[in-house]
Amino acid sequence: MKEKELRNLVKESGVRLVKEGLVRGTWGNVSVRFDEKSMIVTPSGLDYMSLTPEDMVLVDINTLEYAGENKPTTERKIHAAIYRERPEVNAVIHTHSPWCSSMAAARTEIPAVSESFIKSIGGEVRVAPYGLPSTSKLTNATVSAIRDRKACLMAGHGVLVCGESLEDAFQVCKILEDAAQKFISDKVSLIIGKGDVGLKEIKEAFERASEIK
Amino acid sequence: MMTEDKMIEKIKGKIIEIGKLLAEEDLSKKGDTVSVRLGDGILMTDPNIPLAELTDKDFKQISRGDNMSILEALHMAVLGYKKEGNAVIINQAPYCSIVTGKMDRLPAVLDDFAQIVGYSAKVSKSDNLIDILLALKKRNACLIQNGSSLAVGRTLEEAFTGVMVLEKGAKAFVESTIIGNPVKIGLFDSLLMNFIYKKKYSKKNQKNLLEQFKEKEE
Repeated sequence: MKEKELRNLVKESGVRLVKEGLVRGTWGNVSVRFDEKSMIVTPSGLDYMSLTPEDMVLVDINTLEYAGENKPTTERKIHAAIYRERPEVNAVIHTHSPWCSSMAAARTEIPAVSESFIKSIGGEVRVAPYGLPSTSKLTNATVSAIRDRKACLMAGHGVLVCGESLEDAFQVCKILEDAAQKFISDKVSLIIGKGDVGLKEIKEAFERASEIK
Repeated sequence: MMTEDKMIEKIKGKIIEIGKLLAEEDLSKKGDTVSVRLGDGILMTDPNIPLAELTDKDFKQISRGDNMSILEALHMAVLGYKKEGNAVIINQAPYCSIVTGKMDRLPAVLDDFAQIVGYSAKVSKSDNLIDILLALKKRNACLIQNGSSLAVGRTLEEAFTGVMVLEKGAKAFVESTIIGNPVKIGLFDSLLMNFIYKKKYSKKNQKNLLEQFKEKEE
């Protein structure tokens, strides 16, 4: 695919993530592999809805040097490290999606709940130990946690997903968010003994869980 | 060059936009308010109008010495206390409301919360103005005993980010407690991230909103 098409694809993916409720404001970032040496990534701190394909940044995956006025996402080190280590990966998405963020805050794995989940993601979703943003510690922990998987949680931060294509990575994001929601909803049901879970039930479960602690 | 009236109209437009965004994010109910610093006073939204339905007629300019409602006095006091702040949002967000009834502070379990809000956000001991200001000590956001959230920003966008991060952090804290294991971001890491965040943005947006809008025009 040509650079222009890939830039457009990254832009469209950002908008799609916002529309699906997987990304809010300027949180999260998206990239695609351009060639063996470079990737196209979303810029730092700009709203996905107002981005243009030209705002995307071409970054060298070995040196992290970039062209143009926009600064690439601060998480570019992680994106680049995954492209270097995983030749089959052509797209990386990082989100702070609401349910996965709660799992990341609890630093709790998302279990592999079905055959289709294992087929899509590769197994349970591990948690990369905590590291300060943009540090090598966080990069190494994330690359290690996502090894032979298409996703990992980042402790106290969010979720990282990769795929053979942006569409593949996008679908993994959705599967994960649904799985995280189900995991938490099941916990709520278990605590309060009711099936349907809404905000009222979450509040009740939180109050009971707080009392236990 | 733009007149001050036109500038105020522009600020109103920005607040209307922020009000709609808050409603879209399910972070607003009737009674919520937004204010911005204007000279020695403030420009504030009408609490009787839901933020999503604001028009440019639903604003009030309040100056020091005017008769004020408790809510107006709170906005004035917050901007009086937080000299670097230019905008205040007080809103009702679902997960923040859950936390206020149960905790005296909301700890950071996500690093963007630690970065933007700090190690924790305090819950005011009461709805009293002094208690709310105390909860804001060394912080730009807090939760209010009545279930509301409050964020101050150097810009409207920064205040908006503050209430978004508060709610995101509250959701993560509530649900990680349900899962069984809310892990707080370490104090040192929190302080470091908060320091870097403040330093990064300290040179930006320090001017009041009128000056910022004037600059954009020029």
